[in-house]
Amino acid sequence: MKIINSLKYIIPFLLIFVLNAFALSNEEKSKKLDELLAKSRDNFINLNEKYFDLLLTTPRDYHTIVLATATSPQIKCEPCRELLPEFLAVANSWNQKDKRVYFAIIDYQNGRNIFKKLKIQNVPNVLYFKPDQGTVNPEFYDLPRHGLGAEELIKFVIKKTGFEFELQRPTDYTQYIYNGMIIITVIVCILYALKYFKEIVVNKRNWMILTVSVIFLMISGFMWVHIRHPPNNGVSKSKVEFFVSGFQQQYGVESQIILVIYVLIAFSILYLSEKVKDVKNEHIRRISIYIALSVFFICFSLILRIFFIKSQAYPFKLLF
Amino acid sequence: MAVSAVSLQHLKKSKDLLCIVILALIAILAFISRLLSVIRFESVIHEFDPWFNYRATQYLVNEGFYKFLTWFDQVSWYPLGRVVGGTLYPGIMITSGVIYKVLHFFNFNIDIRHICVFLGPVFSGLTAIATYLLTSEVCTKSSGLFAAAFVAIAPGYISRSVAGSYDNEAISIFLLMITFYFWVKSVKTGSSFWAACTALFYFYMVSAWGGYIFIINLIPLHVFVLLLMGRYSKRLYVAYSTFYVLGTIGSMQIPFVGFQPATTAEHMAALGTFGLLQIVAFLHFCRTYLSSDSFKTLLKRFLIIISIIGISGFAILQKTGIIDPWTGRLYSLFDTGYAKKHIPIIASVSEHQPTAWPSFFFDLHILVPLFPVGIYFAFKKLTDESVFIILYGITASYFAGVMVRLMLTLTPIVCVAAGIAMSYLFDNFLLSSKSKTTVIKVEESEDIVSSAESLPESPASPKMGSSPTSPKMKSKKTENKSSILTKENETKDNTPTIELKLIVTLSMLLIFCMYVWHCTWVTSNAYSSPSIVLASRNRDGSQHIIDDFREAYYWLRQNSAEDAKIMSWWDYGYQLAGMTNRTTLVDNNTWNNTHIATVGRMLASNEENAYVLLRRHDVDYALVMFGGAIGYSGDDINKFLWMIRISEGVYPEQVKEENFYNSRGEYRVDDSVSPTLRDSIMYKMSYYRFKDLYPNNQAYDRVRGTPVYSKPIQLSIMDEVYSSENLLVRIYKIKKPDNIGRSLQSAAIFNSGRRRKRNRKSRKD
Repeated sequence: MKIINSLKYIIPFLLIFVLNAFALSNEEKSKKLDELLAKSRDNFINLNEKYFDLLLTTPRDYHTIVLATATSPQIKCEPCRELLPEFLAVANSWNQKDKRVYFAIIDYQNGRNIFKKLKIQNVPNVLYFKPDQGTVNPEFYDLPRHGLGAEELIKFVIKKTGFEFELQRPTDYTQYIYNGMIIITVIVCILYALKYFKEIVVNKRNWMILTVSVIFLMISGFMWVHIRHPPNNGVSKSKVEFFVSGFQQQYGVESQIILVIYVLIAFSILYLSEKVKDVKNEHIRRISIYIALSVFFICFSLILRIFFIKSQAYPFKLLF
Repeated sequence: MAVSAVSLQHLKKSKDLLCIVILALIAILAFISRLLSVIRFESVIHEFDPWFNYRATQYLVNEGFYKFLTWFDQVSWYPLGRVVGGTLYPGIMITSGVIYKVLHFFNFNIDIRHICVFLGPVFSGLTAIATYLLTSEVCTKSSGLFAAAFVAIAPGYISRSVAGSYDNEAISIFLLMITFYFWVKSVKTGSSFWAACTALFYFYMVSAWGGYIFIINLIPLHVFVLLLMGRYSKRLYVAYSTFYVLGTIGSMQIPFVGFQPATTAEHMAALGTFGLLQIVAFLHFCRTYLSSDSFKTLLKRFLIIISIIGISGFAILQKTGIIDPWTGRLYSLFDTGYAKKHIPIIASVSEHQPTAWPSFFFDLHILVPLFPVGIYFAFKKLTDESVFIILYGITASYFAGVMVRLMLTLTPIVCVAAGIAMSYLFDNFLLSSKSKTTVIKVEESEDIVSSAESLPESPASPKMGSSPTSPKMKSKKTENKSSILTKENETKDNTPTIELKLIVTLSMLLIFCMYVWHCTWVTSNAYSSPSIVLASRNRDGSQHIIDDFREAYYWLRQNSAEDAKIMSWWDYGYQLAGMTNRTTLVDNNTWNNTHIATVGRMLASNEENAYVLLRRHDVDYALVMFGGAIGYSGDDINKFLWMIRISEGVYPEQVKEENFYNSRGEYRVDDSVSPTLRDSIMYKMSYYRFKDLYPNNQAYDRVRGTPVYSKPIQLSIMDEVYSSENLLVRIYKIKKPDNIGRSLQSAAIFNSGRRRKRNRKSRKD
């Protein structure tokens, strides 16, 4: 009994001793980490394999959020590039120095083994490591569902760490200045143009070209591409694919192809309905009419053919 | 000579007659091509919103106009109710109400439902006529006929006006076109009579559809651009001033619009243009007293100062909140990412998505590439009217690109432009204007007068041939005309030879045929389904009708108490109210997001929590759509994620979207289903006893393409009272609280004869 009783007193001392030892190592570690942190302009640590182990050695009393990414140009990772500034916006919004949260970035180039160890199959990924937990079983941020926006990412960080903080995007004054400059230049240009190039500005033809091209862009689905950001073209079975089947889907390149076809059709019709009158030579006129008609029919058949790819139930076709 | 004069006069008369006949045929065609849904199914109101319009029309006819205007609907949005009179556009109901009264006055005892069903097709015929009027005002009569023929069967318009689709859009495209016609006419003539007509039809449009915003912004834009082009005229001043004043006063008479024209940003452009026009008119007045140089400087400075004051004043007013900011739906037109971020209920509606190119082609076919050609010709012969066509074209094409739904406003202008383009083409290849003028020159002078009279709408274009014939008619006339024309060919003009004419005309005819086939195919395949009656094909190709919705609604109507409250997702609210005549909690008029979110929360909660909420809202019956048995993909389980998202927006603590995904982050309904989803009453109501339909535990969900959760589902707070033939609609009756105060779960367990001890233990878990 006595021994147990004495243990009662000893244990706290022992604990203090042990904790002290850890604290020391922790202090060293955090010093090192802060040094690393100071290296980068933003609030994150650029990891490689060595630093990764340092950052994630147990015990640790801090939360760690790691962005696993691949920014090298060989790996054409478009979402990686988009996610990086968003991640940095979240990292830079962190302002409570007393509560410890580390933000870090690991690039595939610097830490292939780490990717292997953590079983990260795809990039980008955001991982969260709890305090006092090994490097295994990090919690993954559900990127496909929440998207690449910082607004959603910060919610994840708040929820996991339990610390409230608000997203502070650095006010981008350059954007305002940039926009202001553009507006001013445009106004100045218009005034200048009105003064010196009045004929160009009030020229009916220029306005017509502008209007008609805007209409062409709209009817060939460029607005959809602008809003939805689809991939430019697809690849299926290692073959380049230009058209995706499905009615409310399209690749970026589709709009361009359709635009060209529409323009050709419009020009052939325009030729037939107007320009053909001005051709004096009868033979040339005859041949040109035939050419315009065949361009029209080929293009129109093409449209029907492409539309068949989009919607398999479509029953009509013309030449092919 | 005299004989030829008589024949020309005769020709002109027969031309007019032909024109009228063709137009009438086009209108009839427009009517007939929209009847496919009635022939296939029956004369029935379609979809969702039309059911409300139908119910409101019934109320109007039965109760009278004044009661209708002050109608407070207790049957919807229980327990809140809805002030219907002040929250709808009454135009369509009043239209059918008036038609009903007139017909009954003449003792045609027609049912109000038939009027509602056939209103869309009838107004489409009128749209064709209005399009003809507008186009022939801008270009020639022949182009007008082309445009009318195009718009009569254009799928982009048919989609909203088939028989049974009793919605605001059905009549408002006609109103749009007729308003524009009168506007163009009033600008052309400068007559305040036509301008008053414009205002009158604008008022009608305001009463019918929220899309009137398009008119009240497009017309001022037209005026503004004309001013910028230096095309100010007294005609313009009279037209716009009359229209704006009368139109605005008129629009304020609609209770739903009220004082919006004076306060909201959408209407400010019209007001600003009105002010600007007054200033410009004043300056022009000054001009008569000033030298031209000093006037020019005055004009420039005045314009700059006024525009700066106007824009800044507008900005200040909006900042300070005197003028309301733009509404969400409109905002999403300009900032394309806005709706997705801020308003899930807008983002969830498929009509508010941008338009991919196949939709344009699907809805307009060959007209798509003809559209820019028509705009080109409008530029070629720039008049006040063609400026209007250009502006309409460019704005409508932008809006249609942003929002699929606005394809509807684009369709008429595409038809107009394509009509113009086609008429130019046929003028070239059917008759030579030059040869015609030479013919006339040979003849007497009175013939020239008569031929000039035949073209009163385009005095500036003696080159324009006017041949008011439809494509088919033209091909028949080709031979007649060509006999005259061959003679002129010898006299060295640029008319193509007859062989070329034939080839071009025939190939265009082929294209028109394809257009007609396409339109018919689209109408019959895509736009003629009433969506409350589904059709499938049997193996032998015969049609199989799936009529579960009406079956279940009718069951409710017959078997529930008159004051029963029915809980379902908002999509079915209008149909429920219209067909069962029972009280609903939420419906398609999504005015109260919180209430919708509450219903979503009920469906997403487990039985215990849901029961509290259901009792609190006095719910007697709950209704879900379940497509798993027949493969109907638009069912509630597929919509469930949107319900969760909407209710998470209001109740972030109680409903969390991520809980409805399983451990792999997937939305599944098979054995890997997330426990929260499995416990939600939506899941339970959908799959309750679904397994029993299949032998040997082989239940298979045909929508999700997976087997279902293999353990039997316990449902203790409600009883299944009705499931329709194909299990599409499932109705449950909510149980009353237990007599001796047990929770319903424990009562159910007790009744099933299991030991209570185990039950306690499981509850602790």
